[in-house]
Amino acid sequence: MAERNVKAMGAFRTDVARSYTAKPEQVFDAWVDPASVKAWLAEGEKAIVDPREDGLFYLEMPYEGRKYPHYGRYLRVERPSLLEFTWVSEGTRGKESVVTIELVARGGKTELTLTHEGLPDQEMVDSHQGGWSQILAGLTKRLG
Amino acid sequence: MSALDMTFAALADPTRRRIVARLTRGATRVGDLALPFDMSLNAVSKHLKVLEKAGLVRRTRVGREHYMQLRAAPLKEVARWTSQYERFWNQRLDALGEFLNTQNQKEHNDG
Repeated sequence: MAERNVKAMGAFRTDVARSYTAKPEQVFDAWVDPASVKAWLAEGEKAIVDPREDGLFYLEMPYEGRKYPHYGRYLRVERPSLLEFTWVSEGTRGKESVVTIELVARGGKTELTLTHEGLPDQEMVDSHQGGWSQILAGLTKRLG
Repeated sequence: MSALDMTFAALADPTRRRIVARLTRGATRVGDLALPFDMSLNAVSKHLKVLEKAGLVRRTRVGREHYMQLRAAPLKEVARWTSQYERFWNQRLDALGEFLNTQNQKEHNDG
């Protein structure tokens, strides 16, 4: 397994989950097959992928009216349950963030959990303290 | 410094975060804010000035008492910024769902 560069990463993370009516193999392949990646992830724009440990990728991702170049390095490629890659873009301000995708078969469906760690946090990078995320989460919940 | 930079800078201090957390329970007298932090009124005032400058709190005067109140706007801006990637991945994962459905449909038709 290739290693992440923890010291180059930011401190924020986000978790997103979905359930798909498909086999884990099918969902996994959608993330690594070049034509599939181009079709859904890059929305038809340029997608160059080499999905093996330490393989690299380049994606041109359209988002809110602009195309954003994304670069990364595959850290773990374990079909059909786990895929992990670094994710570097303007949105991560050049920092090496890490995306982990876990796939679990459950009742004919596949549960997907995506974790995006190491997102940058400006001034907070230096002064980050454990309670910050929880406080913010609690606050925003409360403030709607 | 942008407004977002100011918000982050103001919240980078643990005491100021605790003050903000305390204010989520409602408007509080400045004097009462100093008590749980075991700080002088002067020290608390300094922190409050930073929070005020960042637009995170608002001061209202009732007679001789100063009350501090939380302002939601800058925090919402922080939440919007941190959740940009959440929005992005939600969009992409929906696109993946559509892609898988189309694939299944195709297999069904071909089979």
